[in-house]
Amino acid sequence: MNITPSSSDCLDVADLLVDYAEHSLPPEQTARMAAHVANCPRCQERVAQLQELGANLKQPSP
Amino acid sequence: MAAVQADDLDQVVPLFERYQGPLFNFLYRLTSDYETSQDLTQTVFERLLKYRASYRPGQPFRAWAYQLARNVHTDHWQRNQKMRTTDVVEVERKGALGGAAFRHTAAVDREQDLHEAMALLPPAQHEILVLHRFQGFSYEEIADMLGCTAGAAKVKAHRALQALRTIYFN
Ligand SMILES: [Zn+2]
Repeated sequence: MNITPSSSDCLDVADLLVDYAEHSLPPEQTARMAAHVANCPRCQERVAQLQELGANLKQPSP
Repeated sequence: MAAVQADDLDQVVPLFERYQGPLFNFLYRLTSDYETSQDLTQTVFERLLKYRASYRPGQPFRAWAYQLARNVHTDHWQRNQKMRTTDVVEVERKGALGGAAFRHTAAVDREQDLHEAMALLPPAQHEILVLHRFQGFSYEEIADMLGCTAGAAKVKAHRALQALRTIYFN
Protein backbone atom coordinates (compact mmCIF):
# COMPACT_ATOMS: atom_id res chain seq x y z
CA MET A 1 0.00 0.00 0.00
CA ASN A 2 1.35 3.40 -0.96
CA ILE A 3 1.29 6.26 1.50
CA THR A 4 1.05 9.78 0.09
CA PRO A 5 4.23 11.62 1.10
CA SER A 6 3.96 14.56 3.47
CA SER A 7 4.44 18.09 2.20
CA SER A 8 7.83 18.28 3.93
CA ASP A 9 8.96 15.52 1.55
CA CYS A 10 7.70 17.70 -1.32
CA LEU A 11 9.75 20.58 0.05
CA ASP A 12 12.85 18.37 0.06
CA VAL A 13 12.47 17.64 -3.65
CA ALA A 14 11.14 21.08 -4.67
CA ASP A 15 14.45 22.41 -5.97
CA LEU A 16 14.95 19.36 -8.17
CA LEU A 17 11.48 19.39 -9.65
CA VAL A 18 12.32 21.59 -12.65
CA ASP A 19 15.35 19.49 -13.59
CA TYR A 20 13.31 16.34 -13.13
CA ALA A 21 10.49 17.67 -15.31
CA GLU A 22 13.05 18.52 -17.99
CA HIS A 23 14.88 15.20 -17.71
CA SER A 24 18.19 16.81 -16.85
CA LEU A 25 19.03 15.04 -13.59
CA PRO A 26 21.70 12.37 -13.23
CA PRO A 27 20.31 8.80 -12.92
CA GLU A 28 20.62 8.53 -9.16
CA GLN A 29 18.64 11.72 -8.50
CA THR A 30 16.16 10.82 -11.22
CA ALA A 31 15.47 7.57 -9.41
CA ARG A 32 15.00 9.35 -6.11
CA MET A 33 12.63 11.87 -7.69
CA ALA A 34 10.71 9.17 -9.54
CA ALA A 35 10.17 7.31 -6.28
CA HIS A 36 8.69 10.41 -4.66
CA VAL A 37 6.63 11.56 -7.63
CA ALA A 38 5.16 8.10 -8.18
CA ASN A 39 3.48 8.32 -4.79
CA CYS A 40 2.75 12.03 -4.71
CA PRO A 41 -0.21 13.35 -6.70
CA ARG A 42 0.76 16.94 -5.84
CA CYS A 43 4.22 16.60 -7.34
CA GLN A 44 2.84 14.66 -10.31
CA GLU A 45 0.67 17.66 -11.08
CA ARG A 46 3.58 20.06 -10.57
CA VAL A 47 5.77 18.07 -12.96
CA ALA A 48 3.01 18.02 -15.59
CA GLN A 49 2.52 21.77 -15.21
CA LEU A 50 6.24 22.49 -15.42
CA GLN A 51 6.47 20.40 -18.59
CA GLU A 52 3.56 22.25 -20.16
CA LEU A 53 5.09 25.56 -19.14
CA GLY A 54 8.50 24.55 -20.48
CA ALA A 55 6.95 23.65 -23.84
CA ASN A 56 5.02 26.93 -24.02
CA LEU A 57 8.12 28.94 -23.17
CA LYS A 58 9.92 27.46 -26.15
CA GLN A 59 7.41 28.89 -28.61
CA PRO A 60 8.75 31.66 -30.84
CA SER A 61 7.73 35.21 -30.12
CA PRO A 62 4.63 36.54 -31.93
CA MET B 1 34.75 38.63 -29.52
CA ALA B 2 37.36 41.31 -29.87
CA ALA B 3 37.61 43.60 -26.87
CA VAL B 4 36.05 47.00 -27.38
CA GLN B 5 38.17 49.96 -26.56
CA ALA B 6 36.23 51.65 -23.83
CA ASP B 7 35.94 55.06 -25.42
CA ASP B 8 35.99 54.06 -29.06
CA LEU B 9 32.69 55.12 -30.61
CA ASP B 10 33.62 53.44 -33.89
CA GLN B 11 33.45 50.11 -32.10
CA VAL B 12 30.57 50.69 -29.71
CA VAL B 13 28.08 51.79 -32.35
CA PRO B 14 28.43 48.76 -34.68
CA LEU B 15 28.30 46.44 -31.66
CA PHE B 16 25.11 48.08 -30.48
CA GLU B 17 23.64 47.73 -33.95
CA ARG B 18 24.36 44.03 -33.86
CA TYR B 19 22.56 43.59 -30.53
CA GLN B 20 19.78 46.11 -31.13
CA GLY B 21 17.31 43.44 -32.32
CA PRO B 22 17.92 40.99 -29.46
CA LEU B 23 17.85 43.84 -26.93
CA PHE B 24 14.56 45.07 -28.33
CA ASN B 25 13.14 41.53 -28.12
CA PHE B 26 14.36 41.25 -24.55
CA LEU B 27 12.67 44.51 -23.58
CA TYR B 28 9.55 43.63 -25.53
CA ARG B 29 9.32 40.34 -23.63
CA LEU B 30 9.53 42.28 -20.39
CA THR B 31 7.17 45.13 -21.21
CA SER B 32 4.81 43.61 -23.82
CA ASP B 33 4.66 47.05 -25.39
CA TYR B 34 6.14 47.84 -28.78
CA GLU B 35 6.64 51.58 -28.39
CA THR B 36 7.92 51.33 -24.84
CA SER B 37 10.42 48.71 -25.99
CA GLN B 38 11.63 51.01 -28.76
CA ASP B 39 12.03 53.86 -26.30
CA LEU B 40 13.84 51.69 -23.81
CA THR B 41 16.14 50.26 -26.50
CA GLN B 42 17.01 53.85 -27.40
CA THR B 43 17.72 54.57 -23.73
CA VAL B 44 20.04 51.55 -23.60
CA PHE B 45 21.93 53.00 -26.56
CA GLU B 46 22.20 56.40 -24.88
CA ARG B 47 23.49 54.83 -21.67
CA LEU B 48 25.89 52.70 -23.65
CA LEU B 49 27.42 55.85 -25.05
CA LYS B 50 27.30 57.65 -21.74
CA TYR B 51 28.81 54.86 -19.69
CA ARG B 52 31.12 53.38 -22.29
CA ALA B 53 34.09 54.27 -20.09
CA SER B 54 32.76 51.80 -17.50
CA TYR B 55 33.02 48.96 -19.97
CA ARG B 56 35.89 46.68 -18.99
CA PRO B 57 37.79 45.37 -22.02
CA GLY B 58 37.62 41.59 -22.05
CA GLN B 59 34.13 41.60 -20.54
CA PRO B 60 31.65 40.15 -23.04
CA PHE B 61 29.92 43.05 -24.76
CA ARG B 62 26.62 41.19 -24.86
CA ALA B 63 26.57 40.71 -21.07
CA TRP B 64 27.38 44.37 -20.56
CA ALA B 65 24.67 45.56 -22.95
CA TYR B 66 22.10 43.31 -21.28
CA GLN B 67 23.18 44.58 -17.90
CA LEU B 68 22.39 48.10 -19.09
CA ALA B 69 19.09 46.90 -20.56
CA ARG B 70 18.14 45.29 -17.27
CA ASN B 71 18.86 48.53 -15.43
CA VAL B 72 16.85 50.52 -17.97
CA HIS B 73 13.94 48.12 -17.54
CA THR B 74 14.17 48.27 -13.74
CA ASP B 75 14.05 52.08 -13.86
CA HIS B 76 11.08 51.96 -16.21
CA TRP B 77 9.33 49.41 -14.01
CA GLN B 78 9.86 51.50 -10.88
CA ARG B 79 8.51 54.62 -12.60
CA ASN B 80 5.46 52.64 -13.63
CA GLN B 81 4.95 51.24 -10.16
CA LYS B 82 4.80 54.75 -8.77
CA MET B 83 2.16 55.76 -11.29
CA ARG B 84 0.12 52.61 -10.91
CA THR B 85 -2.09 52.11 -7.92
CA THR B 86 -2.82 48.46 -8.61
CA ASP B 87 -0.60 45.81 -7.13
CA VAL B 88 -0.49 42.11 -7.86
CA VAL B 89 -3.14 41.31 -5.29
CA GLU B 90 -5.49 43.85 -6.75
CA VAL B 91 -4.84 42.66 -10.28
CA GLU B 92 -5.69 39.13 -9.23
CA ARG B 93 -8.78 40.19 -7.37
CA LYS B 94 -10.11 42.02 -10.41
CA GLY B 95 -9.40 38.97 -12.51
CA ALA B 96 -7.11 40.98 -14.77
CA LEU B 97 -5.26 37.78 -15.53
CA GLY B 98 -7.92 37.42 -18.20
CA GLY B 99 -9.23 34.19 -16.79
CA ALA B 100 -5.96 32.50 -17.66
CA ALA B 101 -6.99 29.29 -15.96
CA PHE B 102 -10.22 29.01 -17.91
CA ARG B 103 -9.17 29.33 -21.51
CA HIS B 104 -6.25 27.16 -22.40
CA THR B 105 -7.69 26.22 -25.76
CA ALA B 106 -6.23 28.39 -28.50
CA ALA B 107 -2.50 28.83 -28.89
CA VAL B 108 -2.92 32.60 -29.13
CA ASP B 109 -4.74 32.69 -25.82
CA ARG B 110 -2.06 30.54 -24.26
CA GLU B 111 0.67 32.85 -25.47
CA GLN B 112 -1.27 35.82 -24.14
CA ASP B 113 -1.95 34.14 -20.80
CA LEU B 114 1.71 33.33 -20.46
CA HIS B 115 2.64 36.95 -21.11
CA GLU B 116 0.15 38.10 -18.50
CA ALA B 117 1.34 35.55 -15.96
CA MET B 118 4.98 36.51 -16.56
CA ALA B 119 4.15 40.18 -16.12
CA LEU B 120 2.88 39.36 -12.62
CA LEU B 121 6.26 37.98 -11.56
CA PRO B 122 8.64 40.25 -9.65
CA PRO B 123 10.92 41.92 -12.25
CA ALA B 124 14.02 39.95 -11.21
CA GLN B 125 12.22 36.65 -11.79
CA HIS B 126 10.67 37.91 -15.01
CA GLU B 127 14.10 38.94 -16.30
CA ILE B 128 15.84 35.70 -15.49
CA LEU B 129 13.16 33.67 -17.28
CA VAL B 130 13.31 35.87 -20.37
CA LEU B 131 17.12 35.77 -20.40
CA HIS B 132 17.27 32.02 -20.01
CA ARG B 133 14.21 30.80 -21.90
CA PHE B 134 13.81 33.35 -24.68
CA GLN B 135 17.25 34.91 -25.13
CA GLY B 136 19.19 31.70 -24.73
CA PHE B 137 21.58 32.87 -22.02
CA SER B 138 23.37 30.09 -20.14
CA TYR B 139 23.37 30.00 -16.34
CA GLU B 140 27.06 30.95 -16.48
CA GLU B 141 26.28 34.08 -18.52
CA ILE B 142 23.39 35.01 -16.23
CA ALA B 143 25.62 34.46 -13.22
CA ASP B 144 28.08 36.99 -14.69
CA MET B 145 25.32 39.56 -15.01
CA LEU B 146 23.88 38.98 -11.56
CA GLY B 147 27.23 38.67 -9.85
CA CYS B 148 26.51 35.22 -8.43
CA THR B 149 27.56 31.64 -9.13
CA ALA B 150 26.11 29.60 -11.99
CA GLY B 151 24.55 27.30 -9.40
CA ALA B 152 22.81 30.22 -7.72
CA ALA B 153 21.62 31.51 -11.11
CA LYS B 154 20.13 28.11 -11.84
CA VAL B 155 18.32 27.99 -8.50
CA LYS B 156 16.95 31.51 -9.15
CA ALA B 157 15.78 30.49 -12.63
CA HIS B 158 14.10 27.37 -11.28
CA ARG B 159 12.34 29.28 -8.52
CA ALA B 160 11.18 31.82 -11.08
CA LEU B 161 9.71 29.00 -13.16
CA GLN B 162 8.01 27.55 -10.08
CA ALA B 163 6.59 30.98 -9.28
CA LEU B 164 5.34 31.29 -12.85
CA ARG B 165 3.76 27.85 -12.60
CA THR B 166 1.86 28.92 -9.50
CA ILE B 167 0.58 32.10 -11.16
CA TYR B 168 -0.24 30.46 -14.47
CA PHE B 169 -2.10 27.43 -13.17
CA ASN B 170 -3.82 28.87 -10.14
ZN1 LIG C 1 5.43 15.68 -3.50
